[in-house]
Amino acid sequence: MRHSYIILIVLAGYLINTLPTYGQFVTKKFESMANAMNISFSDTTKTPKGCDIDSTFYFKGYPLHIKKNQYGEICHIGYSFFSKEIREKRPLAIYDFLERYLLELDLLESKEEIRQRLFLDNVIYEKKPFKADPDSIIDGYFKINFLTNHKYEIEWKQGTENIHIAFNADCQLILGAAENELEKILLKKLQRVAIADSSESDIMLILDRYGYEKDTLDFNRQKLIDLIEEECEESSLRNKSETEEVLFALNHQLGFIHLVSFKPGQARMYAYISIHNVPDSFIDSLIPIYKDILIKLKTDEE
Amino acid sequence: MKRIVLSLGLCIAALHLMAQRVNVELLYDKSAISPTVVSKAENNLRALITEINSAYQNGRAVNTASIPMSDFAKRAISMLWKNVHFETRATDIQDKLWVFKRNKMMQVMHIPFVLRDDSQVDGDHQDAVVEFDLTGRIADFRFALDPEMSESMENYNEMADLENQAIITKYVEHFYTAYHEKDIDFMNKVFSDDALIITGNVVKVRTPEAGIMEKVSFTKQSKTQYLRNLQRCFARNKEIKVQFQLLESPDGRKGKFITHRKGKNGRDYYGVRLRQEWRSDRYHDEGYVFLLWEFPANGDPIIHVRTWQPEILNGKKISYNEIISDTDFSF
Repeated sequence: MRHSYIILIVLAGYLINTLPTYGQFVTKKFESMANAMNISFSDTTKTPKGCDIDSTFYFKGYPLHIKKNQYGEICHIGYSFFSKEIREKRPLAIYDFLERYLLELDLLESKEEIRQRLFLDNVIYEKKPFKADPDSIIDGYFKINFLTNHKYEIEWKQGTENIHIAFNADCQLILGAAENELEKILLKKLQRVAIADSSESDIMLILDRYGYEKDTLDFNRQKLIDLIEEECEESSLRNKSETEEVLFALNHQLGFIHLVSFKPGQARMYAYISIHNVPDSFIDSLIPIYKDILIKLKTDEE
Repeated sequence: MKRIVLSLGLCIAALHLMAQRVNVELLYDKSAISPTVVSKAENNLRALITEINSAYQNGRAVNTASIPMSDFAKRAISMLWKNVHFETRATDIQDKLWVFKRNKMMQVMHIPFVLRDDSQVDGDHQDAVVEFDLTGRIADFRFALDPEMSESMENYNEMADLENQAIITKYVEHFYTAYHEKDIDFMNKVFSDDALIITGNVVKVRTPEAGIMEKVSFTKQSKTQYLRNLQRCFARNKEIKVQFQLLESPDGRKGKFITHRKGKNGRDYYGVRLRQEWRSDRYHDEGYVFLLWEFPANGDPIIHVRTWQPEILNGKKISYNEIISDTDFSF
């Protein structure tokens, strides 16, 4: 019995390593950004896992903000715009996006490429010549407006310039990965948890992914709830029948829902369902306190 | 002797009036919450159920004064009791305890009750949902389905409907990811072999009454033709990004954006109308798309019909009812 567990763990470890990864990067985008800047992050191997790296790397003389996750992979590359204090005082998911996206635009070679990128991403942003001024955002005027139609409007003052950016609360845009890539990242996360807790599994979890892929894992129900709660702010567990439940978990800042359908001994998960393209009233019916969340966001702004 | 008979009679009556003791066992994950908290939750739930049963059998109000419960939960029970009375006939209740640490709450989903209204006739069997805080105190009590609703199944169907809508949204997203990924294999799988693909083109026609007018001319394509054209389109464009907005019926139920129909073959079909914004490095358009999906019981979801029509015609946005829908097809 013990041997079979060891074999299972070794096999699962092998499966995780064969999943598409981008070297030391969580997403394909971070790998291509590092290549475009010609920066090697191999020196950061000594940096503790789950840590921020500030002011070690520069692009055009401007300090970069790099983050490593708990597995030592690079999970954020962007300009160093927002201080720890700002992030702690008002935690928002879009700080990383702004840092990364504006760096991404600066990595493009021509004005035409920038125009095209903004058009394809459906982002409104007037590109100004970049001026290195490390404190200009955090100390100056910075206003976030989260509109009810799942759009962000953000304004800030950088030096003497007023900058305005507007974009959809679209998890694929904000996280910088298409849904199929986000699902693969989630699968890897699930597999890591499944291996760590292989002896505690009590359900069979099926992750329904792009391309009709269905991954089956032996999982612990409570660990699944914990993991979903890590990713989402609100969740609503509802009865579907006398023996079945459905969990809708919402991350309104990133604009997605995780859906898990529970049957006795089994759970099926559909991850990263975008909400910027469904009617608000639908989200209302899934998450009974959704209206309160929007009201809270409005109050926070004021 | 008379006194003994009377005492015995009173004892029997008291026994009858005293609600039967209910055993409650909550199944939980030891890594999530301490056994002491679960034990408190079990005791509180047992006390509540016993009191509800006693109130039901004695035809009185539920007295929650001595039960560790939030004011919100006490109010919830009192409000419910005004409309409907209920009791559980189970003597052993065993249910999963769901622990939501971030939301600081625990939940049980299936506490079985029998409902009775003013007509004194047994009504539906309904599951109650009970929430606890992380100390085991009862925080909320409600029925999983609306007890006012006569047909419970209707309510269950509504939940299945919400779930279906979320799953369909996910598959519409997969469909559009395939354009972004230029994934012809996925397109080949997602369209049924006999899929009907209709694309509208705006043409200008001269009419004696109104002069030059815009009209939509529809072109029908088979799956093979559509995929061949799509492959050319993928080759021509460096990047394609399609955004969509699912459209809610203006006169339907709030939040409902799918239509469900049973086909003549008995299978279930789901129609969605959406606004599509096609963005690529060479081309951009905005239009309305209708997709007819089938979610086979033992197979992968497939599209039987896809139509496209322009958003604006003769300078005006076309109305919701002008967008092609399942009622335009016989199946």
